[in-house]
Amino acid sequence: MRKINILLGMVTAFVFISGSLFAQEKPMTDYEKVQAIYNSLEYNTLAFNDLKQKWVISDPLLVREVYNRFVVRDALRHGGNKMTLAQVKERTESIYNGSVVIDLRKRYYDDEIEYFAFVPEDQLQAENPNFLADPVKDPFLLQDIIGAKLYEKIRTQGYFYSNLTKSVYDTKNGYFYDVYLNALEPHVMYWNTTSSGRNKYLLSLFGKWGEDQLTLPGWYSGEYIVGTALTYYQSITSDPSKYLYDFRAGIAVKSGRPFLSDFKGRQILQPTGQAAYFRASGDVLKYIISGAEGYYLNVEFKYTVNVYSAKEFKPEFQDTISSVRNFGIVEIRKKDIASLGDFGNLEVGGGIATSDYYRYLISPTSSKLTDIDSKKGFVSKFRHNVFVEAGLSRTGGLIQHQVNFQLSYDTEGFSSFGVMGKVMLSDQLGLDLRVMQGFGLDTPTKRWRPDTYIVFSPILRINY
Amino acid sequence: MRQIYTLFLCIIIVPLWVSAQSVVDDFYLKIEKKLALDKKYLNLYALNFQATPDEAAALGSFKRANGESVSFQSKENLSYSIVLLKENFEIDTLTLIAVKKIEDKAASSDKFFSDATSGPKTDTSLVLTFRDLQEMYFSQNAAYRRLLDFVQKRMAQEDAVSLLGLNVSDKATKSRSVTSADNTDYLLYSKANSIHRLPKFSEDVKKPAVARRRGAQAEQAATDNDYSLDVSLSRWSFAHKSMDMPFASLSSELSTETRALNLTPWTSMSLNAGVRALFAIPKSGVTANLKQDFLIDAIIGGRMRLNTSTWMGKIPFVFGGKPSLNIGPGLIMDITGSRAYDLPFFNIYYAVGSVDVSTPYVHTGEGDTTSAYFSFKQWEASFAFFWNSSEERTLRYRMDIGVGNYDIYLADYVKGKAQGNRMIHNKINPLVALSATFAPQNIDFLSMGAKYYDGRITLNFWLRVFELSPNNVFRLEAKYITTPVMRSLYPWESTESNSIVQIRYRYAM
Repeated sequence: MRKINILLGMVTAFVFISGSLFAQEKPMTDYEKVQAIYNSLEYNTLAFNDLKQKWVISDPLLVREVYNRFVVRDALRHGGNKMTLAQVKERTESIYNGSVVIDLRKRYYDDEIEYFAFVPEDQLQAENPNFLADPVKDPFLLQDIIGAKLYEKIRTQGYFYSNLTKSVYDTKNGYFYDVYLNALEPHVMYWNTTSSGRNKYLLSLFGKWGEDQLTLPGWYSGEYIVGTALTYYQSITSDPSKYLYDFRAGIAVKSGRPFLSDFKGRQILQPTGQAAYFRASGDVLKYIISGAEGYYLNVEFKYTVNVYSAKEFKPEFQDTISSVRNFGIVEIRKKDIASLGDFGNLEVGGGIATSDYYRYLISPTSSKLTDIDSKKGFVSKFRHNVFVEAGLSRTGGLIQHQVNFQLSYDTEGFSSFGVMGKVMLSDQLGLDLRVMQGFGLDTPTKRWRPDTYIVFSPILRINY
Repeated sequence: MRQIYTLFLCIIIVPLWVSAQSVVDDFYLKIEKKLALDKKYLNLYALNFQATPDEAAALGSFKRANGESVSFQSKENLSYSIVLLKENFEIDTLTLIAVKKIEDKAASSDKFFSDATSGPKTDTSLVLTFRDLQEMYFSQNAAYRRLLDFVQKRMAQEDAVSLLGLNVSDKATKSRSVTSADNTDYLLYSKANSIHRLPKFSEDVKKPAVARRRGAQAEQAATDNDYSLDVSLSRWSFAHKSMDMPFASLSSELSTETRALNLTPWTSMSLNAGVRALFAIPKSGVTANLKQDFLIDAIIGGRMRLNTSTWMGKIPFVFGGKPSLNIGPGLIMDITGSRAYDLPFFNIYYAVGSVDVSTPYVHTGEGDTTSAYFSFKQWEASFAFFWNSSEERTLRYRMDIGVGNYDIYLADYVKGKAQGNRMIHNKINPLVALSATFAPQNIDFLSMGAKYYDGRITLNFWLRVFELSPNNVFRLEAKYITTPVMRSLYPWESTESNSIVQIRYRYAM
């Protein structure tokens, strides 16, 4: 007898502890199996869950009406079980308070409601909300519970509701063609090919107005660089700045300006000869220094080969013009140093630049430009500056941005601080804004420089 | 003590079991209701078969949850459909959902001729429900195993039929708007905006599932007509089917328009006449395929001078200042090419004539000493890019990016006699143009465009206003050229903005 009692005691104990003891290995119960079948009947649209139409009913009277249908049809469940009267009464208190909303989601391929849940307002954003009752995941069951008329009213959203449907913002980089219209640095990708099925060679026409590293933003320059670029991506990427190398060659042409002011006595820099422009940029340091991946080396220079005759400027009276005829820039930039979440990825850069400065006298009576500083040698016309940059950039999502802060100091005591920012909406429309503040402008050779630069350009990008 | 334990166990276990069973019953009801009502969304399969006598015997009888017995029968007019759920994330085995019996009453009828007026006579009945099969499964009934083995053997020989009622691929749209890799977008743009007829091509436009409108039928019939016309107050084109050749399609045009100069029609004081040829150079083979071939759409023509300076102010559809620029006569070439060597579509326009300043139509200055401005050479070169708002191509976009140039000569006159001339302007200017054509259900309905070139913005607009009968379409058209923005006025330019409003008639285009 005692043995039987012990056995029964063990059985009882087993009933209580087996659930947790063998939780990892226990086979599915009948309930779980049937539930799994029920959950598997519909065509699986898991990949579209975040794109399905979602909304919330917060109208207390409508919530009450729907809830009451559940009560009348005895359809409130908790953990699959029918609720007791006490449980229903307890939950109904929240309905009286108006603190319960209905969370809804439609099926992807038709308009039926695939998810319906009474949720306390404060639990709406919770990862595992404390539901008022088990969610209903079957449109036909829901229709059966609340009636066809009310179901239709909810389905067609014939009432005030809060739409929570996610919009798709696809900002993947395309390689079919790329039209990037930005007055400060436009490009048009007109040809592409691949040699391995993964990589891409792109040929583009590009323009460039101004040189940030020389504190010469576009608008303030009478010179526009146009040319062609070859960009190589080792493997196609959604971030267009992740190329392996990018070569550019171009010429400088005269440009107009989108305003007619005379800069209050300051002179616009003019091109004074035919100039060639080159730029090479790439993630190539990794081939020289082990572990230097992501360090982009940029080398850029412009060289003016001759001097225009005075008639190019059609002078009506004697005047002085200024020109930066040659420059060179070397920069190293490290991208993706750290991710700062929605703010983007941190990047820093720095380098040295050198540029010359010429002043010419032009006169209607002379066919040649007269170099005012001709006593200075070629080398002594150069000034050198160092610059450092730090910024954040973000690609993908609804808003893309690139913001860089720049500090520059040159050998003649001129220094500047600037912010260069680009913001794009869905990688299609955006604004490029650059602001620079200069210091140490009291030397006569800087009279062409305003102390504050503000340049901007709208951006339109069509990329496939 | 034993009784206490037994009682205690009964108190704990029996309610748990009863509760679990009621929850399972609840699911049975839900599933059977869903199977009955959800006709499209269920990812189920059906194995349809007619049981042979051997199979019927091998399958034996099955006991339903309500105690009834059912068995498969082998009859000529009797077939079965076993509904099943294939393995998925949650279930790792094939699951039998239901068995239906389909009886063809007509086949079992004694009548030699069936009664066609009374419709089909199949009778479908559920012989084993989900509850029946699942209860068999839970009780580890050998009959369930027999049926499952039968299904698995059968499925090794033939595929089960999907019962999914959704056309999933219909919704498999790209998340971004689309562009075509072939000539489709260019051809659709030309069909809507060009004054020249296009040969017939397969448009491949994904149309919404709605009835086609009368206009759409007209579009379809358009290319079947012997000739086509496009007539407005500024430009005319004509094509006849005798001008269609296997390798090219020809048409002719007359025009008062001049490109690269920011002038509205009639203010350029010239009349152009030319022939347009659309060549399709096959990439492979000899058969022309407009969508795939390398296309050259070229207009070759001549330009003659037409003194319309005195008409300005009297022509009721042209608005703006009087012209002050003389355009020289010459040759015109306007060539568009499709994506050769994977380059974008390109357009080259070149108009040139000899420098002759002897007889200007308009002078500046008064008295014996006057001057006149002339332009003898204009050109534009641009790339064109096309894209659409969706696969239906309801909104069709085109962007042109390129450069343009024109020369300006200033000639001096004393008592009307030319004293000499000099070139005073020869700048290359960037051009950017964007146009959008609204074509719901592939009917060209509306188009708007803007172009920035040489400091001026040109706005274009047309609207399909009515259609008298198939192939007779009338459009309202307008063009507006602003005064210079962000630069000062050149001396040969009108101080006012210019515009033209007109009706365009298109027949069989």
